[in-house]
Amino acid sequence: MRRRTLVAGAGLLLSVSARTGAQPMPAAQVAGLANPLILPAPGGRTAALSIIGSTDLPVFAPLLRDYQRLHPGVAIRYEEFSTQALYRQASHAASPVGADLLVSSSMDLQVQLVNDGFAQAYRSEQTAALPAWAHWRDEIFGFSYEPMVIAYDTRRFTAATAPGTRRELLQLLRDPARPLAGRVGSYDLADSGIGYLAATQDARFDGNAGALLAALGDNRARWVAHAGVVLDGIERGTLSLAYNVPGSYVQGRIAAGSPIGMVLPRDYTLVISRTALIPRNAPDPAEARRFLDYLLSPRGQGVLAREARILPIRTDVDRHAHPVGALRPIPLGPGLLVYQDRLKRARFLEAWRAVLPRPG
Amino acid sequence: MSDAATNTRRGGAVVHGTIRGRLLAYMGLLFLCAMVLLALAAQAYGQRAANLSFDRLLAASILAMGETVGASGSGWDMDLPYASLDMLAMAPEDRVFYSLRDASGQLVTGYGDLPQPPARLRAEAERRSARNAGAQDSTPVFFDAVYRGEKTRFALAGRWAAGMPGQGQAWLQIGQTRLARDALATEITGTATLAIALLTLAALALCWWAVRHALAPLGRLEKELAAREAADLQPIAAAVPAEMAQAVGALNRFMARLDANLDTLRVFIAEAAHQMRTPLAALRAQAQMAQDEPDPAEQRRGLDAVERNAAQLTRLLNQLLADASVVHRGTLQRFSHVDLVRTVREALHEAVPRAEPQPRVHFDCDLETAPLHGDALMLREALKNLIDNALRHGTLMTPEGMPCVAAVDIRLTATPVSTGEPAGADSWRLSVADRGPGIAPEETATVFDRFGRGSNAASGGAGLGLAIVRKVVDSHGGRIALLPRPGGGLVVQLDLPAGAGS
Repeated sequence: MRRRTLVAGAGLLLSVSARTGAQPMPAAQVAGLANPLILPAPGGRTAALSIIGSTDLPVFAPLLRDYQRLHPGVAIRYEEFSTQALYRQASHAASPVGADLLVSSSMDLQVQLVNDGFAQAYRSEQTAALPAWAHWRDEIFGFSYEPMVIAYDTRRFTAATAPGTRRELLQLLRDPARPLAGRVGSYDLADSGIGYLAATQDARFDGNAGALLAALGDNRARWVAHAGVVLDGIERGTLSLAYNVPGSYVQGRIAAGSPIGMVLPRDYTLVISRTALIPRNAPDPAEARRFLDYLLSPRGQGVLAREARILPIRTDVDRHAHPVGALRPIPLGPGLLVYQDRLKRARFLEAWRAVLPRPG
Repeated sequence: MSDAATNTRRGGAVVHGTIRGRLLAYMGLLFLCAMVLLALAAQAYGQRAANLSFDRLLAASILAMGETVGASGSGWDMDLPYASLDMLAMAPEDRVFYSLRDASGQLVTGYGDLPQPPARLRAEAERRSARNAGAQDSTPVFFDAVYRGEKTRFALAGRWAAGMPGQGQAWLQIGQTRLARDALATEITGTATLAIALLTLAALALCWWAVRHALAPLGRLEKELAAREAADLQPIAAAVPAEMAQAVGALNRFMARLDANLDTLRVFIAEAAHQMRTPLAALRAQAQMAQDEPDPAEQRRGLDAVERNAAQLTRLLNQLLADASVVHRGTLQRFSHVDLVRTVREALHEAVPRAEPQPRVHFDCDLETAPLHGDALMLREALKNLIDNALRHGTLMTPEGMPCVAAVDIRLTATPVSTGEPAGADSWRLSVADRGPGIAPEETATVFDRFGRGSNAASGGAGLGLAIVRKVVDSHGGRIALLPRPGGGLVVQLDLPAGAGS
C-alpha cells in the first residue's frame, strides 16, 4: 500500500517536471527535508494537491501534515522555488504552471501575477474574514502577518541600547567609531524578493531611506538572499545587527535559545504577508480552494503560529497576538506594481549597487 | 379589467368594457413605455457618468506618469511614480496596465502587448499631440478593449520631451479594468430606475384616483334615477360635469317627450271612456224604458233607439281599433306596391252603404292606375274614414228632420297634371268633397286631434276619423288640407307621393 502511494507520488513529480520543462532549480536540502517534498496520502489517495512556494519548508511542512490529518486522502507535493523563479514559472503564458497553489512572500510579484491575469478568483467565508489590505480581487490572499524587524546580538546590545528607529540606526551606522563596520546584514535587494519589497516600501515612506542604504553600504553590510544567513551570523558572533528581517524568523531563533534580540522600529514597522493564489490553469482548483480555506481557518493559522511562530493574519483568531505600535501593513493592490516596472526596478537597483563597495 | 371583446348584460344595459378599465389600460401602457424609455436613458446616463468620473482618474494617472517621462542618454526614461498606479486603487478591485512607447512604437517600459485604439481615435490622439507640440502633455483619448480576458478602459496620450531623437514624442498608455466603473454605472442606473419606477407607480395611483373621481357623477346620476318614483319624469336635478351635460340634456328631453306621450295617452283613455259611457248610459235608459213600455209601438221605437246607440258604439269601437291598428302599422312601416285607384274603389265598396236611401257618391278618375309605395290596409282605412265622414257630415237634414241624400264627389288626379301617363306623376291628389256645413278655419288645426270634433259636426262621431287619416298620410309622407268647397261644403284634399311603377 505504502509502496504504491510512493510510486504514485513519484509519478506526479515526473508529470509536473515534464509540464514545466524541468527548469534547473536549486534543489537545496533544507533542514533534512527533500525538495520537492512529497507527502503521500496517509488514508489512500483520492486527491492530489500540488503547491509551489517560496516559503521555507520547515515553515510549511507542519501545515501540510496537519492538513493531511484533516483530509487523509490527499497526496501533497510541495516544491520550493525562489520568489523570482516562482514568478517566472507562473507568468509563462504559454505553459501551465502545473501547481494548484502558489505561495510566496514576495507580495509585489504575486500582485503582478494577479494583475496580469494568471490567477483565478475564489470567495468563501474564510477569505471574507481577511482584513481589507490582505486580499485583492478575490484572487490573492495574505495568510501571515510578519513585521519586518531589526535583529541584534544580545551580547552586543541590550533592549535599551539597540536602535529603536531608523534614525537611531542611521546614527549608529554613521558613528565615527564604526561599531557596525562589517558587522551588519540585510537582504540582497537583487536576489531577494522580500528584501526588494521592504527596501522599496522604505523608499516610499522614508525620505532617509537612501541615506540608510548608503550608510549600510559604507559599513560593508552583508547582503544575503536568505534571512537565515544573517541570523546564523549573529548567532556565531560574526554579525551584530540585521535590518529588515522577518520577525517570525527572529522569533524562531529566540525560541530556540539563540542570543538574538528583536526591535520593531518605532517610527514605522513594515508588515508583509505571505500570499497564496490559485493559478488560472491549476490542475485541481477545487483541492486548492479547500487547502486555502484550511490555511486561512483558525486551525491553519493556529498551526502557523505554533510551529513557525508566524502571527495569524486574521485579527478575529487571536486579537492579542498582534503587536502594537506603528505597524504599517503593505496593502495588496496595483500600487505594488510600481517597483516591478522594468525601468523603475533597474533605477532602484542601480542606486543600491552604487553604494556597494567596489569589487576588488 | 373586463374583457373589451365580450359584451355582457348588467342591470338591463349592454356592457362593453369599463371606462375606468380603458383609461387605466391606456395610461398604464403610456407610463410603462415612458418608464422603459427613461430607464434606458438612465442606463446611458449612468454609463456616461461613470465613464466620465473614472476617465478623469485615468487622465490624472497618465498626467502623473508623464511628469517623470524624460530623456536619459540615448533613449526615453520614466521613473514610474507610486501615486500614478496607487491612485487607481480607488477602484480597489481593478487591474492596471500601462506602457511607454517611443514615436516608432518601440516599447520603453510596461506592457508590450496593450491593444491599440481604433484608427479614428489614434488619429485624434496624434492631432491633439501635434497641437500641443512643445507643451508637455496632451489630453488623452479613451477607448474600451478586451485585454487579458477582461473588459478594460484605456487612455492614450502623447508626451513631448526636448532633445529627443525623432519627433521628440512618446506615447503613454494606461488601462484599467471596468469593474468599479461598471459597478458605479449599475448603481446610478439602479437608483434612477428605482426612482422612475416609484414615480410611475405614484402616477398610476393618481390616475386611478382621478379616473374614479371623474366617474363619480355617473354613479350619482345612477343613484338619483334609481331612487325615483316610476311616474317621476322631472328633469335630472343633480349637477353634472360639462362633458355629461349633453347626455343628461338628451335624457331630460326624452323624459319630457315620454311625459307628454303619457299625458296624451291618459287624455285618450279618459276621452275614450267618456265617449263610450254616453251611448252605454243611453242604451241602458232606453232598454229600461222599452222594458217598462206596455205599448208595443212605443216599445218598438225604444228598441230602435237601442239599436241606433249600439251602432254608434260599434262605430266608435271600430274607430278605436282602426286607430290602434294604424298606429301599430305606422310604426312597423311594412310598405309595398299599392295601386291607389284600386284602393279607392275597395274603400268605396266597403264604406258606401248599399241600403236605401243610397247616397250619391261620385268617383271621378281618368287614371288607369296610380302606383305608390305604401300600406294598402292603412290607406284603405283612411279612405273609408274620409268617405264615412263625408257621408255623415255631408248629409243635410231637411226642414222636416228627414235626411237628404248626401252628395259626395271623389276625385283622383295626378300632379302635376299629366294626361294618362302615370309614370310622369310626382304625387297623387285625392279630394273628397261634400256639401256639409264645413269646418271653421280656426278649427282646422284641432279637428286632426283625437276626439277633436268640429263644433258643428253632426252627432254620432267619435272624433277619431280625421286623426286616423292624418296619421296615415303622415306615415306615407303626404300632406292633408281642409278646403272650403265653392257653393258650400268641405273638400278634404290628400297629396300622396307617387311610388315606382314597378
